[in-house]
Amino acid sequence: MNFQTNKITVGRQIGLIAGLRWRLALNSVRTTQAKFELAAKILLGLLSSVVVLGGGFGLGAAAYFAVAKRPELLVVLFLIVFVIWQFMSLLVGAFSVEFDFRNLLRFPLRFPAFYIISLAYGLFDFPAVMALIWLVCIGAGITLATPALLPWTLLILAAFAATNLLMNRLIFSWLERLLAQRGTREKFFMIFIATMLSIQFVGIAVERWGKQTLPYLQTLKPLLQALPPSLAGLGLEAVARTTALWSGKTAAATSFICLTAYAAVFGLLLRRRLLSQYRGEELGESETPQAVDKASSSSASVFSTAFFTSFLPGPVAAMVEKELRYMVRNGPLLMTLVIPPVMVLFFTMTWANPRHTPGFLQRSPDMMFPSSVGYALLVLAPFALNSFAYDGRGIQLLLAAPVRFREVLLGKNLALGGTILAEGLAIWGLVALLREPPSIATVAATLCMLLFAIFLNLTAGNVLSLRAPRGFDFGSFRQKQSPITVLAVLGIQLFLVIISVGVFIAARWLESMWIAAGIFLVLAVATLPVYSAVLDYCSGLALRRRETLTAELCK
Amino acid sequence: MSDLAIQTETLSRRFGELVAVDQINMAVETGQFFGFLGPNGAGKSTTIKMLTGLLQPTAGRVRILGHDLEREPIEVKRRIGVVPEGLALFERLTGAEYLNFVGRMYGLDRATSAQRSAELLEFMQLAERPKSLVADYSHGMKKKLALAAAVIHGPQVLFLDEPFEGVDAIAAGTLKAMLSRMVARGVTIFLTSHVLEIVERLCSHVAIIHKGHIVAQGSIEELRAGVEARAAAAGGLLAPHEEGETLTLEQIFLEIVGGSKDTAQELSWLA
Repeated sequence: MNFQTNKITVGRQIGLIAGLRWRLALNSVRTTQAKFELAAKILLGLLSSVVVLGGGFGLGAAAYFAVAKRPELLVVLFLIVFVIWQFMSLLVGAFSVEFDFRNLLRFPLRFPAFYIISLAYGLFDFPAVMALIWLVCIGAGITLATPALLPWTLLILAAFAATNLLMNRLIFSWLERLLAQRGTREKFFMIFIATMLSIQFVGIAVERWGKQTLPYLQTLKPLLQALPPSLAGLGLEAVARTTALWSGKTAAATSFICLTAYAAVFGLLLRRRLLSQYRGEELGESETPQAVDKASSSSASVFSTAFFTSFLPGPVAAMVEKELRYMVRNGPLLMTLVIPPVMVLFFTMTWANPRHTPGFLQRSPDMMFPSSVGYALLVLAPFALNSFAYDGRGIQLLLAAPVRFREVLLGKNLALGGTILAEGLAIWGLVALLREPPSIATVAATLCMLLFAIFLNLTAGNVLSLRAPRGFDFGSFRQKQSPITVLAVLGIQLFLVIISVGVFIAARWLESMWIAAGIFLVLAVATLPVYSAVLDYCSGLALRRRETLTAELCK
Repeated sequence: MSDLAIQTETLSRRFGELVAVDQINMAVETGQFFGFLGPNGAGKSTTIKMLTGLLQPTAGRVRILGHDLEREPIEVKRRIGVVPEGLALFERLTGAEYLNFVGRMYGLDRATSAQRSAELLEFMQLAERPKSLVADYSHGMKKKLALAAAVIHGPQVLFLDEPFEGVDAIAAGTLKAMLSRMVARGVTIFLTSHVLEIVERLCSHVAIIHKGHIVAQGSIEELRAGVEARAAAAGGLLAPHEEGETLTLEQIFLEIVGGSKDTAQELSWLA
């Protein structure tokens, strides 16, 4: 047999893959829309860089202050970086679909190259980049305060960064395994969001039962001190307090050794996990009919929309029913519906504490209902701006069916608009139950504001859904929205917040919520013909944009 | 009403510099089982997408049952059924919910839609898992569901893009029988497939597209006669077959498209 392939070095393999990623990036900006999206991405990147650099400057200044005045605060700075690196990357990345570098295993890729590529992916995550920049800033702050600390700072920061990177990749590689199946992914997601919501109540629980639990928490102190951020902070604190003394250097060296040991353990565990992947572990989807059967049967019995849609034309009613079924089976959306009422509950429980300093809403209870509804709108309205996100290949049916897109969009809009209104009613019930029923004028003003905001969001959303569609995966919360849509969401919500706050402030100043109701009603009525005209326009737009729609949603 | 179910006039589609379909003229009579063949990348899917309104032509015209697709898209779509390349399924619905939805989008009332959905699920042997979401169907089951959705409103013209790909032999037999019965009742079926044996068995007429051009069109007998005549004129160089046997569609296809090129010589480095 004539076998002529040469062995490729690990460095060459990594170079080839970097080249592949670069080529993929270049090829992804061939169309005009992709170029626009790149421009929007750059703009968003610039906005993000303000946060990153601002935070970096703040942490650097805090590190300078800490070394000069209060070295014990260094632990807090490392804790911030640790939380951002580990938890924010989880929020941003765990539930999103990314380039699966395991596809590269079909090539004769060596394990060291596979390992390094996995680490490289972790390094280029946005939270990791931000955390690294912040670490550099902390290092700069410490060194500027006491230049003699530079060697220890470099050692400890490097060990801390390596620990974070390896820990992060280890968590992700395990998550990848756990979340490989759709059913598990969705359940995990629900638990995740429920946990995130529960965290809101930790403060209340601490306020109420903090004193009783303090002795138990004290016993955890040694454990907390053994965690990477504490080790890094305590090591540098010791050396900052006693640069001239041997004990400080010993403490710093111990921290460095412990952090290195952490990195080594995480590195070995990651190696074990990646080795399984490298050897061809199958993580793919598999059928889970039993689980699905249960879910779908329960959700199917949750509602019968036939009565509510019987007055609508057939295709519009069919769209409404389909949309509601999709909502019931969409974990992220369901959890999103839960968030606003939970926040109402949270605020009410916070105010129940007599030691709590009264905030704006506590001093102005009549604003509780509009504020909560406004919050619900901020959370739910973005679903209107990419309304085909979950339709996937079903978009072909909508394009092939003998209906105008006006009817398709109307069905979608009725389902979402109705859901937002129902959410508003639920919030009204909760506010009335937990606090006091808002006045009729406030309810009228809030409902009119809601109508205006719904029409505005749906008008913009219908165009954006056709102009910048993005397909979403069901098991995911953080999805890659089109940057154009992200900018539009920011713009529209900002506009609505300014208008609404302005109108409510004016109404309160004039001591009549009916004025707000009137203004919002006029705005809603004025938006309605625009909404209707845009619906008509969208019928033609959908036909013109059918290739983009199918190309984007049928991926 | 026109006797032509499908008619195209200089239908073209460009993707940037690439001309995927170049001025094709095609006529499919009502009640024909029409096979649309071509090698990979020849323009089959692009053509079927243009015929069903899923893709806008760069130039040319499409008429379905006498209706201009661009001027009367709703009228045309009401009369046709489509199984497109991506199957067009809403994966978060159950099979019955999906068929109900499709039926109502095509103008059926709620009761008729529900009744036909149940019958189609039974016929396609998809009724055993009524609560399963489409997302959890196998590829073959999805294909059957897509076909069920394409016929729920009783279309007069049916467009099928690779309908038998991934479908098991038993289901394929059921589908073929169903399609043949539809043709017998006057429905026109326009089908693309890479499995030439299926096309030969089912279709009365075929068109072959190659590099965006229609290179042959007619009944299988006409194509066979054409290829044999051309071979005779060229000195009898024809794909080998036993004397007395007729050319198979595969042999006709290879003769027309020129797929007999011996590439083994060029890849001598292969083991």
